[in-house]
Parts: sequence; structure tokens; C-alpha cells
Amino acid sequence: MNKTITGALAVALGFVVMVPAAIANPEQTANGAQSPAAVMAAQTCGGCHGTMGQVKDNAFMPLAGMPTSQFVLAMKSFANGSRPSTLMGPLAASFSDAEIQAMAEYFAAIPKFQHEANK
Amino acid sequence: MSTMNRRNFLKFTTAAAAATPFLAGKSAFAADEKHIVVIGGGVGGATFAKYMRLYAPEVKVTVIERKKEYQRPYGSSEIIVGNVDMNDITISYDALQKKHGVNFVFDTVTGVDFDKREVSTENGTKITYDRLVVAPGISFDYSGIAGMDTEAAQQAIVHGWDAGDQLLTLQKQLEAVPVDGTVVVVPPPNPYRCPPGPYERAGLITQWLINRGDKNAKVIILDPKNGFTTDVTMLQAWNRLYGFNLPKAFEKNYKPEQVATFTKHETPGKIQWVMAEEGGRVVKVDVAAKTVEAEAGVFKADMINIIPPLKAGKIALDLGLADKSGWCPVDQKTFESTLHPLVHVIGDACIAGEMPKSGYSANSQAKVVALQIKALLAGQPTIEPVLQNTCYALAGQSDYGMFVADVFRLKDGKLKRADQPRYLPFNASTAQYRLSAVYLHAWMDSFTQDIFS
Amino acid sequence: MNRSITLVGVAALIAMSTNSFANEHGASKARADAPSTEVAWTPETLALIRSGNAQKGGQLAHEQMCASCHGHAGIAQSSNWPSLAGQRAEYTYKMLQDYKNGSRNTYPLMTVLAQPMSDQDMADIAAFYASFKLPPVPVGTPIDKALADKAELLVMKGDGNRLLAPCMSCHGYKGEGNVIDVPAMAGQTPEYFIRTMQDYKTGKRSNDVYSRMRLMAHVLSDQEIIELANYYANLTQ
Repeated sequence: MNKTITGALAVALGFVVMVPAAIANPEQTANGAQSPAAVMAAQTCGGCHGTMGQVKDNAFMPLAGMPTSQFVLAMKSFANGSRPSTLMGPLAASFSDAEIQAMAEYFAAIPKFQHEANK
Repeated sequence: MSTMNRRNFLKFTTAAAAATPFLAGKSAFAADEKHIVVIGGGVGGATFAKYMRLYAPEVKVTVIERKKEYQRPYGSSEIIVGNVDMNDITISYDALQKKHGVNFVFDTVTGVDFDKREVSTENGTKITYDRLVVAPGISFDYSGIAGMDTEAAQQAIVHGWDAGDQLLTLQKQLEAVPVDGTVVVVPPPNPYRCPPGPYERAGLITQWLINRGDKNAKVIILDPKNGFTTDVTMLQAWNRLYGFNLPKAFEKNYKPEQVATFTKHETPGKIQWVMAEEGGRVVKVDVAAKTVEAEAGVFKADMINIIPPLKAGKIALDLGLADKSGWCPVDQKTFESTLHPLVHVIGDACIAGEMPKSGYSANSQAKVVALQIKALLAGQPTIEPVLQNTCYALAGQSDYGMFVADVFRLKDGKLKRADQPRYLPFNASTAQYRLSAVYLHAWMDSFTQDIFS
Repeated sequence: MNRSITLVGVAALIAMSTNSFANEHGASKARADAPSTEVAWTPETLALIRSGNAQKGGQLAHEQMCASCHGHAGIAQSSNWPSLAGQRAEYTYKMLQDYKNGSRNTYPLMTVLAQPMSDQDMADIAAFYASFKLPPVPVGTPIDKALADKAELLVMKGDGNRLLAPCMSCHGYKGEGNVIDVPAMAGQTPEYFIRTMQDYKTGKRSNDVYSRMRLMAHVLSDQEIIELANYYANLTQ
């Protein structure tokens, strides 16, 4: 057994150990590692931006996998009005810096939704 | 049902060790498997079931629901004017069952034994729970409107406020309105489901009559209230689109320079809003004569749509989960009933401080409760909640949208909205209204995905 | 195969009709009969675009809230949307027209925004974005340099075996675009680039005259598209 194969096996095994097989979909695995406060703050976005930010309609920005700095910059510039918006301005202004940071870290850790065509 | 592998078993034993007190309860299932039972598969119940499984895959979730398919009430007024059809608002529970492993029992709940933690159904099934989530939606209270207290009256003048075939009845009634006819819409008093909804519906009907070619048709809103959510943007839109004149008594809600931007239309507009202060409260309905008697006088109509006062869904009332107000008091951090422990009430039926009764509120509450129940089952402290609501609405014209958006936090035990602007600004650009309409329709899809897929 | 032969191959491909592409690759039959665009490069149209007033365009872009996604100076604020800074005016103009009349229907929101615009409005907005320099490497979006390097062969030489012209033969050595409506791609956000190429590949987007991009995208692998996205994002002037 060469090193690469060992590595691949270890990764595969690691996956088995980390993720209960009873879980049918990968969405369930992604929340476990997150802090409860981050999950709490991020759930508020789901109604428009999709479960865990993996929205399929592209009128709303998918948040899953967005780099933290980009998320924070977007929310702050919506909040102070420097980035024009319809709804995001008032909404972003309602969240605290800590909540915005927690959301940013949550979404950065979620895999991007893979469009059917991109799989 | 999920099969348990070794890893899962290990995880359970750890979780169980941390949550020993909860093992005392009886369960029909494996002793170490926590079981959450949900009554009602609407926005709140379905979101809860999906997210409970997402946040805590080791927990078993069973939804008891009467209907095999869901008809979404959000956006359903567009059925009446033919923008969408019943298929568009009908949603399957397949993904919740197959993808998320939620157990569904299609049956009617007949009772709950709170001591035994046991739900009974019409078909004689008994289901035990570790915690119960009740998401029963709304019921209708016609007792305050004379002339509407019979079954026959309620079939002739329908509300169409809970999706279902009543929407098709309203569609037929609208089509039967003679050219240049009159439609009366009666919104309910606070609190009620979907705050901008009755006004959006009135706007949609107005636009439908205009599209048909009616020059002198009228839509009259007889309101028991002096304002409503999105009123400042909605009334501005109607002034622009439908010759609507601002009621004198409402002017105080705008700055003088804003009032000055309203056009004063010489003839009465195609849509009129009779607010409570100007006699909008309805006291009596004559179904046969098609007249509505309000404090301001008697209105003759070709079509009448009355959304009566609302209460919590019937099952919540039957189970003794509501107080004298007709709604269910809860601890606003966990949404656990203050009347029955281990029972959580979410969505329209619960009293959630300043949160409106809306689909988005129910969705956000459901996720919060899933997180709190996960913590409670693990013997961990509950989490400081943050919730959100967004309601989109159309002014009538399908490219003129608006919204209300709020964030809610717990303060002195009550959910309070963050003190920020919540509507489009008064001087919003045309692009902002057009974009809001685009977002409204995109939201119908993304919101449905978040709940059901 | 040398470069001139490759280009002959491309010309032959371009000569193939939209129809045959659509039939072969399953794009809807109804669309196959529709022209890929309604914009014709007449002297009048080109003159109109040349007359575009960047200052007026800036005002219009402000009113239409373009900055919300595309940034105040045409540099996208989030990775999902395209940067427009330094884009060729003909291309921006054509996109607005294509959105307005439905030739490009990949994004309903843009159709709604383009509908109230006049031809002159579009020329002005196109001039506004053309007045900026091409964007720098997108900020906040990690670019994979190794992936970018892998695309270089395709960009510079193409692939004769697959009748793939080098990208740079139309889009320029520096990704700066070309006459008349070949877009600049330097500094473009990679997610937008990937989505666009996938939309060409599946035929979802079909406003490319003579199916030029659909034919290219159809023979590119998904991995190559990702490599190209990283290459162009990383390409600065």
C-alpha cells in the first residue's frame, strides 16, 4: 500500500468516523461543527437565501461558501447605505457586529451549493 | 426510518448520558431515541421537522397532518386574480420524508394526554413524545359580525385566508362581478395572519378589474383598524396607480412634505380605504342583499370578501393551549407553552411579542425551537434567540412590490423588534419597487425550498 | 495543427447554423427558430453606442441600483455577479438589449431592470462602464493560481483536436475583448464566469451570434471551465 492510497483511505475512514451513516444528506453534517450562536444568527437568512445559504434561485445571493470578509463587507456596506439595496439595508442595520461575524463564519464553512450543471 | 450504525449508537449513548433526566419519560421507540411529535404540517411544523433533523439527526421527528399535500397560503391571493393556479401553490411532503427522514402520519389529532405525553388520533393511533410541537395555524371567529354566524352565510361569503378551495370560490365570484361593479374587502382586526395580505388582495382585485377594461369599478376596504403593516408605502402606491385619495385621518402618519407629494384626485379612486376612524368597522352583513353595514353606512357590493377575526387553530383551542385572547401564551425564548410543559407552540397560533403572524415568522420560530429543543435534549442551556420576519407584498400591479423586514430579540421576556427602518423609504426609486416585486416572486420559490425541500 | 488551421476550423463551426446546434444539443425547438439576438451592428447602432454619455449613464446606473450588485465603479460586490468595469460598450449595450427583449433570459431580474430603458439609456450606461479600467483581481474571492496556470495552453493555443480556437484569438492576449461585441474577461468574478460558461454549455444562454460560445463551451470539460475562470480572474492589465 503506497502513501497516497493510505492517505485516501484515511480520509475515507475519517469521513465514516465523523459522519453517522444514518444521515442521508450532507446538509445535516455541516451544522454540527458550528457554534449554537452562529447557527442561531444564520438561520434568520434561510427564508430567502436558502437552507444554510444554499439557495437555488439566483435572484438572491447564495451565502454558502462566501468568504468571511466578503460577507462582513456586504452587510456593513448595506447597513451604512454605501451599497444600495431594497431590503438588505434596513435588515443589515438590525444585526450587531457580533451577529454579522457569526453569520459570516457560519456561511464560510458551508459548502457551496453545486448547481446541477456544475456537478 | 434510519438504521442505527455503530457510530450513531455511540453518539446516542453520549447524548443520553448527558440528558439522563429526559430518559424518565416513556417512549414507544428505542429507549435512547428521542422523539419529537409535531401537530400540523404547515410552514411552522414543516420547517421545524426539517430543521430538527438537520440540527439533530439523531432525533426522531413525526409530523401528524390531516392533508397529504400542502397548499401554501403565502402568495395565494394571486389565485383569485389568475396569476397562479392551484398547482403552483400545492407542495408535496416527499422531500421531508425521503431526504430528511421525517416520519409523517396523515391523520387528525383528537387529543393529547399531557401526563402520559401521548397524542391520540382519529384512526386510533397513540404516539408518545419527548417534546410536542404544536403548529396549528388559525381558526375563524364569526361571532362578532351579525349575519355571518350561519354555515350558509360562511359558504356564500368566504374568507379565502387559509388557501384551499375558497380561493377558487373567490376567483369565480370575481369573474362574476358585472362591469364597473363594486367589491368590498373586509380585513380582520389585529392580530391576524399576514398583515399586508388583505390590502395586497384588494390591490390585486383592483388591478384585475382595470385589466378587464372596467373604467368605473370600485374596490372598497372596510377596516376595523386605523393602519396596517406597509400602510405608508401601500397607500402611496395606490395614490400613484389607482387614483386613491389619502384619508384625512391618516395624514398624521406622514410628514407634511410627504403628504404634499400625494396627488389629490378629483374623482373617488378605484380603490378606497375606509379606516376605523372614518367608520370602517363592519357591524352587520346581509348575505342575500349583498350589503355590508359599517359604522360609516351601508355598502352595496357585487362581491364581498370578509376575513373575520382570527384565533389560534382549533386543535390548540381544544387542547387548552390558548388563553382568553384566543392565542397561545409561550415562553418567548423557547416557545414552550406556559400552560403545558414539554409542549411548544409556534407560528400564527402563538403569542410572540411584537412578531407578526406570518410565514416568515413561523419559519424563523421553527428554527429557533429546533435549536432550543436540541439544547434541552442534550441538557445544555438554551440559546439567546434572534428571529427575523420579512413580508413582501404587491400594490396590485404585479411589478410594484414592497416589503416589511424586521429582526426580533428577547427583551424582558418579550420579543421586541429592532428599532430600524422596516419599509422602503418614502422616496424610493422606481427600480426599488420593481426589484421588490422580482424579489417577492423569487422569495415564493426560495422560501418554499427552505421549508419543504 | 497550426493556428491558422485552427481558425479555419472555427470559421467552419461558426458557419454552422444555430438550428443545427439546437437540434443536436437539445436546446428547445421553439428557441431554435428565434434569432440569437435582435441587435444588428448597423452603422446607426454603432453610432448610437459611440454617442453614449458616460455621465448620464452614471446617473442612470445610480437610479437603477446597478451598484447594488455591480459596484459603484463596476467592480462586483459579491462573487456571484459580474464586474462591468472596462467592459466594451458594444457588449454591455447588447446585453441590455438582449435582456430587454428576452434574447438573454438567464436572469429575470435583469430583464425587469432593462425593460424601462431606452436605446439611448443603454448606450449611456454602456459608456459609463466602459469609462473605467478593467477590474483588478477580485477581492475576497480566493483565486487558485495552479488552476489558472493550467488554462494557459487553452487560452494561448486552443485545442485543434476539438476544433477549439485559442480564447485569446477573440478575447485578446490580456482578456481585454475585441471588436465589436467580444467581451473583456480580465478580472471577471470566477463564479459568474463558470455560471456563464455552463449556461452556454447547456444552451440555457443562447444570445451568442452563430452559437459561437455555445459551440466552444460544449466541448470544454467542467474542469477546464473552472481553470479558465481562475485564469481570467487572475489576469490583470
